[in-house]
Amino acid sequence: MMRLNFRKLYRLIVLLLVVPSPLVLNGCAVLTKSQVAEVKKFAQATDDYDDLPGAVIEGHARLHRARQLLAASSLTDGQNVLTQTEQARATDASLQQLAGRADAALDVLDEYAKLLKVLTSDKFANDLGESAESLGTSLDSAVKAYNSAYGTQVQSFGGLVASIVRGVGGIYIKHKQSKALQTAVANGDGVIAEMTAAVENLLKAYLPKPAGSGEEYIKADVAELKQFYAGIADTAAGHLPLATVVTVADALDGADQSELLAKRSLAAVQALRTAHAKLLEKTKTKLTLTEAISEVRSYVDEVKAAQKLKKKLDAN
Amino acid sequence: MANTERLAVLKAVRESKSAVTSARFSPKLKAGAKVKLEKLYLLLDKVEDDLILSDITDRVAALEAASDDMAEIAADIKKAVKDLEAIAEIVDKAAKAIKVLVDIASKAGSLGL
Repeated sequence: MMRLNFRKLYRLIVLLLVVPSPLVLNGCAVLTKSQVAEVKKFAQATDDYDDLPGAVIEGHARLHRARQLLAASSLTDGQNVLTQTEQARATDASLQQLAGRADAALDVLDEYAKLLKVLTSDKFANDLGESAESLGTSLDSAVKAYNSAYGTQVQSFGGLVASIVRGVGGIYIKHKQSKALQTAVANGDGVIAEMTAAVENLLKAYLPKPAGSGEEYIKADVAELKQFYAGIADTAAGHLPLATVVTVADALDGADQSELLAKRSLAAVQALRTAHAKLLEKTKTKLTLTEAISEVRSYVDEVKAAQKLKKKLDAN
Repeated sequence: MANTERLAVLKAVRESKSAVTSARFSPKLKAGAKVKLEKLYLLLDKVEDDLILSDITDRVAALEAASDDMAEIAADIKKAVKDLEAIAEIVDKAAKAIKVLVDIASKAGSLGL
């Protein structure tokens, strides 16, 4: 094995690792616990949100179909009955498809929230910790092998190198995470506004005034359903089938639930928009005293992790 | 169709349907007239369905367009995640390279090189 000047090598490694540190630390923001907490809140708001607009369209589809089939049951001409039944089926199928498309479009919100959580996770610093430990162990093995080959007593320095890599590297990673989060959220905010506006626009078609935009699809179907029901009941003169009564009652229950769901979905999408706006605020560089303290704590956490790693390797 | 136009047509169609339905249930109506009113009702109902589907389709399409924009943001975040993963990988590669060197040097030593 060739002779190596371990003292020179050791000094070179420390120099390479320590010199960039001031450049990293000087005025550079790192990911703070409060930013991570805000990402978690946004992810929770997204979790609470899923599927609701699609469910509102499906609720309307069921009501609309019930109304059209009730109308079909009141028609006197066979061909007209068939035409109306087919119309009911076709419109139901189209609305169900639109419900599926709305749900699919919203899946990306989940993905965005999950990616923000990954971006702000401890995974990268933890992976670095494992890699730094591996590096420290490798260096110690190299020193042992050298001492064994040349009968020298060069002191192991793997623990020190690993702790520097973990400490400086950890702060560097937190800095990169902070920048990446800032960029992602800044770019995402406009699109979140676009998506939430599109969802609000969709839901308002189902809500009565003043929240609604005028279409009132659920209210209109309920009014027509009741008009048919009254007409059929008059014609039946006390012989209205129970099945018809049950169908109408179920349809009206469904209508109430769909309207309630539309209101809740509207509130949830507005909460999601607010949560993202708060997240954007948190990622901006100007810090309050509380946020500055939170940032210092992040630095301290990385240094503590580095010290813990050094102790572990020195004990081996 | 602009939204205000659609709303106006929807309102007119619904009012017409309501009037036709009331007329259909009139006990004085003859069978032939009833069938004609049914056909008119079906026509109006079809127009209403077309308006509803056109409207909801436009709204869902706007949501899908926003979703495509969000997918691009998500792709950028994935790249940033890969960059972060690469940091630990660099250190890992250094660790492995050192191990390989130690192995080679030990084997060379044992062969008397």
